[in-house]
Amino acid sequence: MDYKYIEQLLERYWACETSVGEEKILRAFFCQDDVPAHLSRYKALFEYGRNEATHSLGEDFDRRLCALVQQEKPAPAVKIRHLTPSYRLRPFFRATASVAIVLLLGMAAQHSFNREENASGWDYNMATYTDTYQNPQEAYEAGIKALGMFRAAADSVKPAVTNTTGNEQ
Amino acid sequence: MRHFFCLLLLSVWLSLPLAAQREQDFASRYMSLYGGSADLTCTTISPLMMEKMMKLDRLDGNDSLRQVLAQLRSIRVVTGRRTAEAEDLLKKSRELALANHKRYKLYAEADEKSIFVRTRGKVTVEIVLMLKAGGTFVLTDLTGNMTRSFIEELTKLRIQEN
Repeated sequence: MDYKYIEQLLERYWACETSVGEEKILRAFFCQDDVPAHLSRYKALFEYGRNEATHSLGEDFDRRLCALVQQEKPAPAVKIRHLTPSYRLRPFFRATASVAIVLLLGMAAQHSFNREENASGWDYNMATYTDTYQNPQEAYEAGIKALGMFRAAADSVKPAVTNTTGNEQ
Repeated sequence: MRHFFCLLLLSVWLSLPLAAQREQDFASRYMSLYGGSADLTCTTISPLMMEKMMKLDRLDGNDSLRQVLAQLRSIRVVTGRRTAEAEDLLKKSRELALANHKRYKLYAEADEKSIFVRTRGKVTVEIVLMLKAGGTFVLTDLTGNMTRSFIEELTKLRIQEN
């Protein structure tokens, strides 16, 4: 038997060029029992397509679906929790702890900087100095007088034995 | 919330250098402790006034004085008016310095005179002279960036008073 027509249809089927009618012919051919050996490998494919087309939801689909929906667990009950004042203030405590940690780190850094050998010298707050004299001449006179006290004191004082070169602690 | 924390951390970080600038010199500390109870006067020459003083013509020709003044940032003189209090005020000033012995080291002393210094690293930042002269208590506080030989220079100083 010549199966050239079927083979041509198959060629066009693989190239997606067949019409709906031609595909029906192919399905009908492969559904028969005696399919030639060299074409039998395609039989399973066309039989699968035919079998799958017969599948439907069934008459009891709605009933089964409704039963499944009803079997679902009910939503969990909402638990009411009383918030204690300490629980409510917890974010505040956390923020305070963060600030405390930062401050401690800053103070530790500052302390270590102050202990450095090359610490910058004069460290007083300029804002705390309010001039008694508004005239530089008067301030000069007072300054010279103050320095004169050191000059006068130097004659009588004796150097202390203690070490004066240590760092501030 | 995250932005708030970032701002908070930033503000704390920025405030640290400001906190480091809150040192108080000996004279102002002494005044804050005893200025209310005793009859004390405190005269102050600020760092700003010291800069103005350096520009005075009177310093021309006196290089040693100019060098000394250049190292000073401020001068405070605390004077007790009542002679009866002088002994007690001198004692209190010595006790205050000795109580802060980590900060102020005794440099030199005599019967009724003491000189304390405060150093930071290699720099002397404060010299305090406390004495009883003519029955009056006087505390002289010099601050600045002073070298170790500063006091020696200071005591050799040729001062021309008008």
